[in-house]
Amino acid sequence: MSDTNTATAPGHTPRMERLSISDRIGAAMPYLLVPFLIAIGFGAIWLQATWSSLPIQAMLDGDLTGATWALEPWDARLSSWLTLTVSGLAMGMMIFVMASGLTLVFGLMDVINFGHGAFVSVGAFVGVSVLLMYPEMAAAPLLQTNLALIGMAVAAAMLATGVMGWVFERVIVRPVYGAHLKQILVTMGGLIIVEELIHVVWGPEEIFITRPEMLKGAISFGDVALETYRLVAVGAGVIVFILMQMVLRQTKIGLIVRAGVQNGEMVQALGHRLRLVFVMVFIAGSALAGLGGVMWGLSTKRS
Amino acid sequence: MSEGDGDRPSEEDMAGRRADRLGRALMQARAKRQTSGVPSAGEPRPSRLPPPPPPPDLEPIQQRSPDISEQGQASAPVAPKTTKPPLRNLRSKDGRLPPPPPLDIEEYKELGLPIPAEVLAAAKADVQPAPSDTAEPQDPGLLVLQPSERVDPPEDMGIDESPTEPVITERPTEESQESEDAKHARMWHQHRALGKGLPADTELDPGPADELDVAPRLLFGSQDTFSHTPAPAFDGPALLTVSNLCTNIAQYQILRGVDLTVPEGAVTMLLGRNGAGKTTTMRTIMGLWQSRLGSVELGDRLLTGLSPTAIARLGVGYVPEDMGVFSDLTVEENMRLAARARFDRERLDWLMACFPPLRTFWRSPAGLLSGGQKQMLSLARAMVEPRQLYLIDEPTKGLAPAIVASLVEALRKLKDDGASMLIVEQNYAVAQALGDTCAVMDDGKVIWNGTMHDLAIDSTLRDRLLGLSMETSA
Repeated sequence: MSDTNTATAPGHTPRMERLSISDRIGAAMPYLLVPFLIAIGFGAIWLQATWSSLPIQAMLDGDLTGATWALEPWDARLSSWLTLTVSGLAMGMMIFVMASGLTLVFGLMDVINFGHGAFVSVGAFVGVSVLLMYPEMAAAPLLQTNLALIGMAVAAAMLATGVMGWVFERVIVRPVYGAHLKQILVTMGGLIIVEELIHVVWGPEEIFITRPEMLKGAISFGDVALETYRLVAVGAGVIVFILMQMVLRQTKIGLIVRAGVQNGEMVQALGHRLRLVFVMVFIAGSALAGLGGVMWGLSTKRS
Repeated sequence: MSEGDGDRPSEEDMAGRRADRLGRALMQARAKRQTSGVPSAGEPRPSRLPPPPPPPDLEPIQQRSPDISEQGQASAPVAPKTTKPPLRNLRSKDGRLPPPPPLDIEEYKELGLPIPAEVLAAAKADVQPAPSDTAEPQDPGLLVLQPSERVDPPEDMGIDESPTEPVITERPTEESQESEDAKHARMWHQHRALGKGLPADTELDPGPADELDVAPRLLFGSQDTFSHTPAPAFDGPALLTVSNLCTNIAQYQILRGVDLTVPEGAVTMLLGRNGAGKTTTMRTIMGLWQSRLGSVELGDRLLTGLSPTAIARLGVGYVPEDMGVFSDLTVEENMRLAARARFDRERLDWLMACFPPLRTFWRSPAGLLSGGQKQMLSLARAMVEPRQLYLIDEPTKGLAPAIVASLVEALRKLKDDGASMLIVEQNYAVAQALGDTCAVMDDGKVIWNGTMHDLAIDSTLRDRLLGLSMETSA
């Protein structure tokens, strides 16, 4: 009896394990990645500039100790880095514009649309056709004329892909709402059909275009040369992003879209025509794909 | 309490006779109720509470409508008016007070009068089962379920366990223990009131009565939250008519011919055990399931086959079982989604007064709200526009008792505004507090239809219809 009473409890020593590095910085990773990648890119470009003078020189001498370790200054390739960064940003913006339609449709309607790429192609071809239709506007060395032409091309492309998206939703997607596998198969089929239709309309050959006059060439800041068109593409992407945010945050339609992503049934039970909003989103997504197509076509200078 | 302890020795002396007396008192009380239909003020009472019911001209609305007894079961005993009149209403407009109640045992002691045996027996019955002498109840959560009108003397003496007794809250096991706690809380307040040296043989003083009110208010949230107003007769136009509704979900036949009406301006409760098809009925009415057979009509308009959007636009507000709150949106955006064009400021202020957390968290994401706050948001969202009919699926599910009380209060306010509601509810006390009419479902059908009052006064019927479900799911 006394034994049981006098037995002391084991010492209370809670153990706290060290967190692993991934646990510590995991949440901040997306933000840390940006400066990390910038540094990596910058370092790679610098290394490429300074590469030639290093190991090869040493090996030719056959004496590593005698090698000249003449490093380039850190800002030797700053201008290249800036040019490449802007062009990467422009590429990213174009992909964002093209993909935003895809994510809108997938997020709101839970439709996996493999045919989205076809809208990009159609947008590019329609835009290029408009550009080729008015060569004198493209040749004019006036910024506003050139921008008007691009605006016309974009409008035509968005209109075409918007209408196409509406037909696509009506004919191909509507029967397969809620069935992912069928969506993949049927939209893939739609993609093939549209691709072949492009061949029918525009032919199989590549179409080369020249950019409007004022978007050719580059703008120089000191020894940094930035391609004009890429700046325009970045600007357009930023504008699309801001417009999308404003529509989604400020308008009732945006409210319905954001609510519909979470609980479509409840949005309907609150008296909103979710189906109509769905179709509008599909059309808007397709039109964004068309815009992205025009930007892409102008960027590669061929379709 | 010292009063209770002082009575204990004599309790043993009286032990043999007590049972006889109590039995006789009960028989008398029952006979009286069944013949007169109204509890008599001259009946021996254990204490000052409850006060005698006021003369009919004071509160005509609480008088039982004769139509109901005709349309209810013929076999059901004519119930006494179980509503506890609010104490502040005791004094009529000309300042006249109702006749004083019979004396308490304490009053007899104070006055030095010989104590009549009946009073003594009644006092014993009050003191005897004492589980605890403290005023505070052990578990207010369970007590919330007790409608506060259970103060009619014979039921209140804790001696009656017969199922035919028209007591509204009658708990067979530990819940009856809880009701004893409530009663003792009340007794404690009575004794305290008398301890203030009030002349016991004079008129009933409203002062202590107000103080007596404190106990139920503590227990039940607000005094009139759960007090039941007898159902008026609903022979008015039916707002919602559901007939022979059959719904299949996948290959399962969930609804097998539901017939249901919601009268205009009334609250209809849809009761029944889990899996009976209550939620499916609501969803089918809302158009979220398509029915296989049957029809749903709102007024003279057929809802069957319409989309949920169209049904909502016809004026049906829906609060789903899972509350349907958009957690990524702010509270404001949730509300804005339900409002037509702009917020009606007045209505919004009213809703915020009903549900204060909405104002607090107006700009924060609805996903951060607690369960009760989400339920409030869901209800407020349905109410932000005035609608013809509100379909509310289990508003009190999984909520703390205090929140249940405030929800019930808000729903009652809406009901007083003349709104028509169909509410699925598992908490029977809430159902009884809110409901005017009631439908009980089982196995995909409505097996009973009537006024809430009929169900409230007939515990046999209740047991038969609801079984254990209403007791356990609270």
